[in-house]
Amino acid sequence: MRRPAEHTLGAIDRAGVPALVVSSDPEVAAWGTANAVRVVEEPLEGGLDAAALAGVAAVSGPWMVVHADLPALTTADVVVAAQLADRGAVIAPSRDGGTSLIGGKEDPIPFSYGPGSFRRHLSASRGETTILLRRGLALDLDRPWDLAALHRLGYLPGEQIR
Amino acid sequence: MSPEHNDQPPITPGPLSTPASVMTIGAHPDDAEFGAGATLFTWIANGADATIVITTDGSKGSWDSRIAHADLVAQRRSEQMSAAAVLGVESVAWLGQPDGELRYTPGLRRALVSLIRTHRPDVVLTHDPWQRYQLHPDHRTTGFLAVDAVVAAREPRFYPEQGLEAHRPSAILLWSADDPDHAETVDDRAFDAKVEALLCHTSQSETTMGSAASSATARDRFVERVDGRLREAGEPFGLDRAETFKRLTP
Repeated sequence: MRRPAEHTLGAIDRAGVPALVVSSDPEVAAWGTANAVRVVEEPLEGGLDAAALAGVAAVSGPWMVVHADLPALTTADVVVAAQLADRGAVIAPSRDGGTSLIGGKEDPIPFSYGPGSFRRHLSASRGETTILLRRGLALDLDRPWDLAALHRLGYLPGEQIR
Repeated sequence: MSPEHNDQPPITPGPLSTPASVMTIGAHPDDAEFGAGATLFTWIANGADATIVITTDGSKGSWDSRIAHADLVAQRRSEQMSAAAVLGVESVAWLGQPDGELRYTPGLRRALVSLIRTHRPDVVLTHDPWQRYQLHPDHRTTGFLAVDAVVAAREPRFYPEQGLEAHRPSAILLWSADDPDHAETVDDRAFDAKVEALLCHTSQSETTMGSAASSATARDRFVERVDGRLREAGEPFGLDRAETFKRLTP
């Protein structure tokens, strides 16, 4: 899964958006140090919700939480999302009803990741929230057959699915 | 109505060139993907802007009576937005009428005219309302509403209070036609995108997709079924796979 994560971070970097990684994995921490990416320690408890909150707490101003398994993510996707986060709030669904990106300029809503999180985040949103529909944010890697499907769609070189 | 509005330009045979803007008008979440998902993907990949319009709330789309009405509506909206994103569609509009009980009203036609005049699609795709033995009333009604809305949208004397410039799409493509006369080829990428978009509608897995979400085997069976239908549709047009339509020139 390293290459999709590197792809995701590359798209964010090319968009000119400063990124940090939330993880408790020492390998990820070492990788972040080697690539000049700030790594925030993931809380021991609370799963993705706590990890997202830790990431948001580590930045000031507008923020975005982006999943790292987005091999089709483009720089344009990130630029548009960042503009929307600067203006108010933005949320993007993954293809399985998850939340591949959420962001805003105010304090975050209580995160509620897991199956169906897009619906929950959307219903909890405050004020004007833009729903961002982008292929690069929808096509994530969750299920065994996602790798092959993304390869057929032209987003993953063959060596990444072996 | 001025005489030139009745002139029918000759139909150009073969697939349409990529439109700058395209709109689907379907009755339920997933109808656009079944009818024209691959065509949408291909056109968007070639630069088209696309909007999916859905006339009902999808609230009858489950055999599970334990799911609350509001939850099912919310789930189907979420699924539709995921599917739209997979295809590259950036705009989804909802008319929110009760599923299975859609009525043809002047108000709904006016709402569709407003959407057409706002998004200004070159091509509108919808259900064929003249399909023989079409059982689903929402499909018939949506098809008639969409076709009639295109007719009204092109005429400036319809709904001038909208303050929107009249707009005439260059083509209407009707899916599920008994006698299709137009085919859009479906290449491998477009086929995969159509399948992936359809599979976003997990609430429909049991009702319309052979429980495709339940196992890899069921998923493969569903993929084969979609593949078979597209190959069957393409065969009369000399295409490996195709989505086929009845083509009208407004």
